[in-house]
Amino acid sequence: MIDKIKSGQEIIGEFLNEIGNIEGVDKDIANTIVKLYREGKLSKTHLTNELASIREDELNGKD
Amino acid sequence: MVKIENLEIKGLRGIKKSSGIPLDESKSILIYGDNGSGKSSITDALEWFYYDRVDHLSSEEIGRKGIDALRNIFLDNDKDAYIDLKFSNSKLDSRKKLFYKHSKLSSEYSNTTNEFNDYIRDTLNENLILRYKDLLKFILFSKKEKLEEISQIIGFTEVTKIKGIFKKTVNSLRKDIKIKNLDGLISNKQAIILEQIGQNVNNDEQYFKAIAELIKPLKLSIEVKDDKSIEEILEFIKRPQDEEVMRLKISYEKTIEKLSGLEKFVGDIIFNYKNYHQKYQKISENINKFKKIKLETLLSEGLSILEKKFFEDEKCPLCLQAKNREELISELRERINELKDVKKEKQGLKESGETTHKIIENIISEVETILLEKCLSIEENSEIKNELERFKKETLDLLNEFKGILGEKREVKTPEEFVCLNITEIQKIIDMLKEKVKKMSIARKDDLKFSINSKLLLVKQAYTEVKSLKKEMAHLKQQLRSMELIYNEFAKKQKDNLASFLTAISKDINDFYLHMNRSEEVDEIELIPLDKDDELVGITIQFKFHGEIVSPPDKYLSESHLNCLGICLFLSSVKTYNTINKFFILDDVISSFDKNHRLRFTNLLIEKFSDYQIFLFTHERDWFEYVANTVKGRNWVVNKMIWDYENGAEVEPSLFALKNRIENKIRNSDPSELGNMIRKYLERLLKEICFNLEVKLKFLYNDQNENRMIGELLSELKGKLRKRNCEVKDHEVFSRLEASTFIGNKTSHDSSFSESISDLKVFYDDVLKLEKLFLCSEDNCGKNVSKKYYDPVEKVIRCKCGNLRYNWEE
Repeated sequence: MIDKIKSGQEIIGEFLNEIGNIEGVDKDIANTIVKLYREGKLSKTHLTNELASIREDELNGKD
Repeated sequence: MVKIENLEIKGLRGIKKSSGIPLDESKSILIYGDNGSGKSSITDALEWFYYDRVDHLSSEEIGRKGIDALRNIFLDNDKDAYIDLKFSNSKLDSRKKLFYKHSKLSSEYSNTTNEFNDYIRDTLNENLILRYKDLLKFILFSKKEKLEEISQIIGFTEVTKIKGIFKKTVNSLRKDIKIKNLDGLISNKQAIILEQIGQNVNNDEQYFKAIAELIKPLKLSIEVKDDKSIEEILEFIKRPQDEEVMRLKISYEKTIEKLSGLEKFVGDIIFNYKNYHQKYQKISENINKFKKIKLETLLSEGLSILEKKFFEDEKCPLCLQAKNREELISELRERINELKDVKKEKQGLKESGETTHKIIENIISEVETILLEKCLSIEENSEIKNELERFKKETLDLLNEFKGILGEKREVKTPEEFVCLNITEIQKIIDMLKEKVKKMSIARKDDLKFSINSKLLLVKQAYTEVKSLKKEMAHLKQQLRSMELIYNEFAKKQKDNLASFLTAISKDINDFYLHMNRSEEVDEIELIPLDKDDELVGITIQFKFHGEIVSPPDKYLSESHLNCLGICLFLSSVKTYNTINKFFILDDVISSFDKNHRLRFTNLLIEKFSDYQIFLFTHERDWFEYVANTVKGRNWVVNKMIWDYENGAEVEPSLFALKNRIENKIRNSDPSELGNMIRKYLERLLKEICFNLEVKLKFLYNDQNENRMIGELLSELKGKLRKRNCEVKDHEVFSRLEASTFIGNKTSHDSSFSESISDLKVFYDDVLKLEKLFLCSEDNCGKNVSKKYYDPVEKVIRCKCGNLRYNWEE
């Protein structure tokens, strides 16, 4: 249980700040989610496309 | 936090002329006004200022968030209507005006700074206003609506949206892994390796070892240790005359492999279409049940009408047949839940259809790739190519057929009728191609270099592809794992925060409610989040009632208690969630309270919200007087809202403020409104004098008593002075005022009479003379002559200090 009551924006902001530190989460995915949210483009379609693009880059040895 | 220091409104709702409320040091304000006197005009103006809408004015006919009904209808079109607010933080001071621009209503703020824009944007999430009609709104919401409302208040709408995006992305990755069939493709490649070198290869070490074994008969001096060394070997053993044959052989092998994969795809179509057909059959057997999905909106609307008590008769609101209200609500909830399950089934059918569609598309794409293979471009394979073209056409027809089924334009066939793809033909082609490869190998069976070269090329290609497919699979699975972790972590955060908010708000609601309802059998009021399949689906209000935990409140509590709970909910949300503004508006919210609740509510506000600026509006005179007495000396402004035909609604200024306004106008030689203002000042002065001298007037009921006219007051006052043989009984000011009042009356109504500033000055001088007759001018007194200070021995009445005294014979 948390002590302070947070607004939706605070929860999202805090989560995005911590997302890269969640154990087992790929850093590229974490960064992509943060980037899409900041650009106001976080949607299922955009995120799925970005994930496909990350996989493509990794397969092409850009990682 | 922000408080309001001054509020001025003009031309909005009932307020026609500029009406201001100075709230020095951000005092709270209690305003009394009859129904229709314009109290709610202040609330409407504030609601519009902050939220750009006036909810209770918004309707289908008015539209535009109620703004079309906001301008005072008597205000000239070329004049601006406005609300002007001055705040404790002066950087936020702003006027919002509503005006006509090219015959259309427009609005704008005078403050265009970023700080102000941020303030308005952030205030959108705060609860500032509670009206009587909104008291029960939250209590009567459905569980889902309660969750939506709370989510809206605490800004969770965006959180829920993002959680939905994460969940959909997880599902999409799971689907991808299934449809891509990477495991199947890896098996195919491994089968090629096994066929060529007679063993499985699972890692680089095994791979290099197997290659070394393969090339051993060539007795090369190259050590097989990496991909580069394999490239060197291939370069070393290649012969120009073999190249064309080698390319053809590899193309055959690739084509065989791909055609073998088609078998799996066709199997997938059959499996998925069977699944689709099964779901479809289940739906068709209960088609009437599914047709009823369309009723869900109607039933939900009906339930909402009943829950919000827009229809309170013991009848069905649609057919008007007699029906127990509670039973009807319960039946509707049950039917809506059933329809939700039916909708879920229909969604399952849709998803199954989408998967089948995707697999058919994959087959077409795979056949198109095969048709481009080199081995199919040679003459001897033209029949095979034609057969594959036919297969492609059949698959395209199947896709179109299925599109028709999904679009409900074609009949749904049984799986046997639907999947007519001739996979045995494909199997025949595979066998034919295998035979050709075999022949090619036999023809060169004695050519060791050729045999090893072709095996090496095939194994190298298959192993490289296996590695690539495994890598792709690993990335997909890693992405799925990451997204699952992200989703779970985010959902947990949302749940924890909501639970924390509900716990905090529940504690306040309970405290406030118990404050107003002592020794009653209600306790432990809580807002409880409801889960279904690990998803938040609603919020309910539960409480202890006569020792038992029950829900919902409208089933157990009286209207007065429900209203009480409504106020507690609002006050709790203000306390828990408003972080920018330290004020709130309660517009006529205690109407249904009994006397005890009213008094306790006043105490609650004063005890628990003393640090807030409260705007308290009421039309209940007794309660107004009680609150006015209670807040004396507590940083409150007490005022009245008055309305007349000429001026519309306005907040009655204090005598002192009115005097200042009159004297300002006289100084500026501005006669507009002056006569009316002097008349009002005289009226209130006379009331005060009559009150102090106990002048008896004709009996009138309650509020009518307030509406005494100057003539009546003057006449009765003179009568009393004469009766008591008071020395000022024949003072000239009385007859002069009787004449001058004519001016005040004329200027307050539509009249062709045009007053001059000098007439008005004379009128005001007479009013001041009257004031001076009864008001002590000593600095340390300043009190009116009053019956309170009557001396029965000397038979005089006097002011508090005794400096001003008159005969008073009783």
